[in-house]
Amino acid sequence: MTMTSTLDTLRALLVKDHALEPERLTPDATLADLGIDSLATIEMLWNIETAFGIDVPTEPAPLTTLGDVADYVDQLRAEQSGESASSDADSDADSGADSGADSGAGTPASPAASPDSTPAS
Amino acid sequence: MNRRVAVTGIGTVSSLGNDAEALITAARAGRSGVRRLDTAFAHRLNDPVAATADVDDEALGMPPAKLRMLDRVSRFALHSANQALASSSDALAGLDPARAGTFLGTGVAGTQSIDDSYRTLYEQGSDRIAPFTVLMGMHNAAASWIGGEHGLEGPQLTYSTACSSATVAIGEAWRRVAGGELELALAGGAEAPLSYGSLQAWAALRTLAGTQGDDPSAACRPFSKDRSGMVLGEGAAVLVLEPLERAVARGATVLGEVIGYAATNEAGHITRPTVDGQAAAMRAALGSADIDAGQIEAINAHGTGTRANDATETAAIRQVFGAHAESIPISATKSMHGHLLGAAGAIEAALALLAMRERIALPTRHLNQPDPVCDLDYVPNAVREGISARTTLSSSFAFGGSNAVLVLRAGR
Repeated sequence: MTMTSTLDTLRALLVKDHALEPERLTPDATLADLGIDSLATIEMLWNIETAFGIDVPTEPAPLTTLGDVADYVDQLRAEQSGESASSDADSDADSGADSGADSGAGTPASPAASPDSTPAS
Repeated sequence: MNRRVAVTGIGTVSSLGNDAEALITAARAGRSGVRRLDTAFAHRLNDPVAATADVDDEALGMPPAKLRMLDRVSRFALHSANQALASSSDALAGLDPARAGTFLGTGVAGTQSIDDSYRTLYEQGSDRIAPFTVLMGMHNAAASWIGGEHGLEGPQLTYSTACSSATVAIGEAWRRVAGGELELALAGGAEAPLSYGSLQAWAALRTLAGTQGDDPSAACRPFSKDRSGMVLGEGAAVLVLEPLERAVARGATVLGEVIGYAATNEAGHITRPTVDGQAAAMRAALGSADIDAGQIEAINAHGTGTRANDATETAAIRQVFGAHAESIPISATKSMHGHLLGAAGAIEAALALLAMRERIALPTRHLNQPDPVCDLDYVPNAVREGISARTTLSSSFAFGGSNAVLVLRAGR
């Protein structure tokens, strides 16, 4: 997939989830200007995992613009394309790539916790 | 406690309607919001009935990306808070936000979001659950959204004492307003307990009523000899509390007053209530209001429809009120809106205030078979007009023994 088609998929995600006008979704548009805050970024990365069938690492990535996100997705797709045949794409996705959640004692880095974890009882 | 505390706004969503006027209209008419549950998992439940709410979340006016962070329980809570403030003639105007607090009761909070996550993990075998599960499931989420959306910077507190949660929330808010710490509180409860896991958990405890014949809406039958259990309901109610003096000064409509509250512990069995325990809670509430038992003119009972509660509560009312008990109209409105668990005390306090405003005693529906151990005046089946009650007791007796009782006074 080319850079352009990655961006198109991202655009479709953001139009659907945030009702953003497609013409605003240029590669140099910043996430901040688009109203994508830290929590919305976490949700976006989770949807990216689903849309592209990739694992987004928990380690924070410097994502400022939409172009940064597209490049990051392409990089991950390239890195993971060789692994996909041997690993389950869903098995250990850390959906909450840490982009700086605003607060809270526990960073929402690993919603994909162990089966023993009980978020509330 | 030196300041009188007025209720100047009520907001609510439930199976009986999505504002205070719809609620009192339905309850006055004796309309039951209980129905057969028709959700995707209903076939896995034995004879499921519930009082379901139907709310248009667009009315919250939130962008979709924000709305997605709110579990159903938070949406109910926010709808109710928005309405309560909208009906209060701008209670927030001119207020120091640090002296405005949020007090909310909930029993199972964001259980539907948690249930969804478990389905993903255990049923679908996926390790990827929705990214906002923590934010949607946490118990304080609903209060957080209320306080955040309305800029209330005083205490934001969530009470989880099972079926008395909302009564505790209102009572604790009342104490802080009466004591001078706060100038305003949004207080109430919210519950959205109709997840598959939650319903099965209640069913496993053998507390739920079934359809009982061919009319699901008549499943909850408090104080009737043929009662067979409680019916879960969903919804919320929020009251605006402020000093009476402030309410009058700004020309707000005073819907009523909170004049007393007590919280006590059964210190005994985790589910079995005792006559002495319930009576102690009612007595303590009367003491808090500094009134005699003879001044209580109406009761909104806990009245769940379980065999144990209704007989116990009847005996407890007799113990506290003596011969006067026979002349008090007792309403068990759960027969219509179901048991809202951690929101029950809020919707029932709202109904108690609205009933006093309307000069009516609300009916206990589906009370068709008198029970010798439930031998008081429960206003069976039809509303009673021309009741000039000025002081009503609203009781909540919880699993776990956390009993709480409010004393409410009419606004007129």
